[in-house]
Amino acid sequence: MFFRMLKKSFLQGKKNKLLAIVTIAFGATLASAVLSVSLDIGDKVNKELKSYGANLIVKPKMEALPLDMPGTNIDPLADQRYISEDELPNIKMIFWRHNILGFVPSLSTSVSIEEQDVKLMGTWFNKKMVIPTGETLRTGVKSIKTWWDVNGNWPGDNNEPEALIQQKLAQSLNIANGDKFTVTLTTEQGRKTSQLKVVGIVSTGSNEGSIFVPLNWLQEQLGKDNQVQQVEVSALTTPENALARKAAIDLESLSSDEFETWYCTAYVDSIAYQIEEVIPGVEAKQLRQVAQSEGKVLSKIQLLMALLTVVALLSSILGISNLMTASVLERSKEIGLYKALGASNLPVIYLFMAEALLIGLAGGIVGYGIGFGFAQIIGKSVFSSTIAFKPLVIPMVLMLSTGVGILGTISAMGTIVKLQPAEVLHGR
Amino acid sequence: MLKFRMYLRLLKGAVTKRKSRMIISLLAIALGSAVISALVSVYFDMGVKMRKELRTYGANVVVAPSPKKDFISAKELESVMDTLPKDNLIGYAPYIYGVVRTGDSRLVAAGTDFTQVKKVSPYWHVEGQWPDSDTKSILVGIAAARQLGVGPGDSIIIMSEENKQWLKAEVTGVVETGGTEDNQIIMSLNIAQQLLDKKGKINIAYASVLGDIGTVERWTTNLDSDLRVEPVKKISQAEGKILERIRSLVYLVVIIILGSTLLCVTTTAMAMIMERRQEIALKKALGADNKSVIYEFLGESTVLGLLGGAAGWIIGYGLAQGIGLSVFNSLVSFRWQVIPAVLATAVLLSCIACLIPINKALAVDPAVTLKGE
Repeated sequence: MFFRMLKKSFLQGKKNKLLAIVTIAFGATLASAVLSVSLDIGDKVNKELKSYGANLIVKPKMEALPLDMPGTNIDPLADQRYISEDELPNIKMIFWRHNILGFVPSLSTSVSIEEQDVKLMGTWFNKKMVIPTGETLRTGVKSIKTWWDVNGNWPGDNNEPEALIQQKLAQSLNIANGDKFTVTLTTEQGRKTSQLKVVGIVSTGSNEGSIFVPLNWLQEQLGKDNQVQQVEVSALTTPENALARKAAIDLESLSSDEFETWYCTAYVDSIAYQIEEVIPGVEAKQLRQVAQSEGKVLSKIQLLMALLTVVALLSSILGISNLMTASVLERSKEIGLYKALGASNLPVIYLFMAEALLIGLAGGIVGYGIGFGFAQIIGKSVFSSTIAFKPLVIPMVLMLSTGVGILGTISAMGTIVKLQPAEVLHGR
Repeated sequence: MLKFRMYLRLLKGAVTKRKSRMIISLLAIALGSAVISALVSVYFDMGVKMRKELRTYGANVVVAPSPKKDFISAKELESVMDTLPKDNLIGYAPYIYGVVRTGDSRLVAAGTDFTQVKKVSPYWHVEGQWPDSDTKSILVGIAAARQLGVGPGDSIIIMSEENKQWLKAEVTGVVETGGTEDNQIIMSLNIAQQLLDKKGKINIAYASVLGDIGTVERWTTNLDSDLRVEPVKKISQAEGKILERIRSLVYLVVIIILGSTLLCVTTTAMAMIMERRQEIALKKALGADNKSVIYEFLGESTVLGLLGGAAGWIIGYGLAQGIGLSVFNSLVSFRWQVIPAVLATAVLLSCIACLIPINKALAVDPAVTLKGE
């Protein structure tokens, strides 16, 4: 009997039911689109924030303090220690290897060109590297320092004598693209001269006054095979929380459980720790300028999206519950009739609940589908990548739509209970 | 005149007599407008607020000496910074460097303005305390502190390598940045200039300026100064890119929420009108023509829209402040343009929601409907 009534109610009030399903579907669309996007937003925004450059720097452990002063030239090769280039692929072997987006090693020296001292830096431009797992990785300045603006070509990564020269320096030395020039290097065996060919003019936006050459070429010239001075690493990280701060103060103070949690979370410090584990004799440090700001901005955006999601959910709850209340009010006559025929309050409430449940379910399923589509549109147009399918969203949306459907009915329950059959049937 | 008074009475009756239904419609419109006004306020304020947040990435403009010189004078620097509107300049930190000895270690000493550093480079992590400006207290970089074996509270003697002047200073804190500062001793600008015998001289200055890369570039290229003032490309370019992404993300999300809120409110209002078929039939049976019924319903919708919109704007303004305070720690600014926009949307919405079903309701045969079939 219950099911017959339910069926009848759906068949007869087709239009009304359809309207209710459509409203719930709208709400659910909204909820599922915003939920899908905000659950996937962390990684996406994090990748965008990578345009600020590397957030970790790996240097050999040193006895003496380097005398770097911005804007002044001091020979950086003085009592320098090195990291072996062969060890670098190990960075892609740490626990959080998938979070390592890339890294750039570098080796710098001071050279003279026509009596002028210039910084010459050997680095990777877009190096193809085979990591021990057998995968290949392309990494280098091109993908990490995205703000570099190259006019001409990028040099190769072999030992060809090709160079990128900074714009201001090119002007002051009067060198154009395609020109050849001679540099005088100081090596352990004494001074020697080499020829370089300019393949591109680069604007890096700060400290204009360097020349960039393939790492292998410079290593060969200096007789420092396989040696690099520092490695900049770009990694996706999780914003810091209380645990990360505790670990930063004193790693020893963590209990073994806490240590495990810390180690298995992609904090910038735990990634640094893991890099120190795989490459002996180095110090990996976070570049606070990038790493800390990244965490701050990321948590702001996540909070903003979370609040927008709450607003979206509120708005869908509002739509659904309004409609349910309206539909109960509208059907007061029907309820009056049930009651007049001897039904007590409970069965009537059950009937409405079951209806709400069905409507909520149907609307939720339709809405989830459409919402996922919307999420893709957002992903494509904002981040040019798809939004990952998160199974968690389905139960959330369905629970929301049925829950709200039922909640909306509850607010109308009072009306059902108070309803006097004689009054409504009389039409007042 | 009489007709108009009758119209007003009908309107009043419609609003006061059917309280529970009116409240539902009103609630729908009010909550809908609240969502709309909150989102619009937050959206328009977001650009400015996010830009401020992104300034935590540090200086986006570098000021270096003119090509032929080694130093900037404090006066030159100030005259450059004065060309920027006050509101756009977050801060600028001048630096002087020199090589010093302490014990048997050689290291770099830097002099700067600590109050400015806090504004320009909020990412500096200081264990201990920041020194008071113009006192002989210093910050020591974390690597330097390890090498020297000092911590907050210790005193060290610093000797300038060039002119053999010396200074006894108290370490108030240890600073960590991951950059070159980790290897340095950092003191007040005046003290460093005295120690290094470089009074009034500055090596380099970093400024944090609000504005997109275009504005900053225009400012730096139009400057009439010998100094080399250049935007830090890495920071400004990334800032523009991130801001663009976040903006379009929030834009799309806001559009979707607005769209579905509008639809929810409309369907609710539609359902409410559908229910009133009997009333319409009664009016028609009493001799009202279609036009006057439509007018009456439109009037009712307008009143509803205005009331709901006004209530919604107030709730929405509160909601926007909630979002502003919790995300950006600052209030969302008041925009009067939002008020007419919200009211107009609310009225338009309730009128549209009324017009769609009313035509259908008008087509009914009064006799059939009133009979209750």
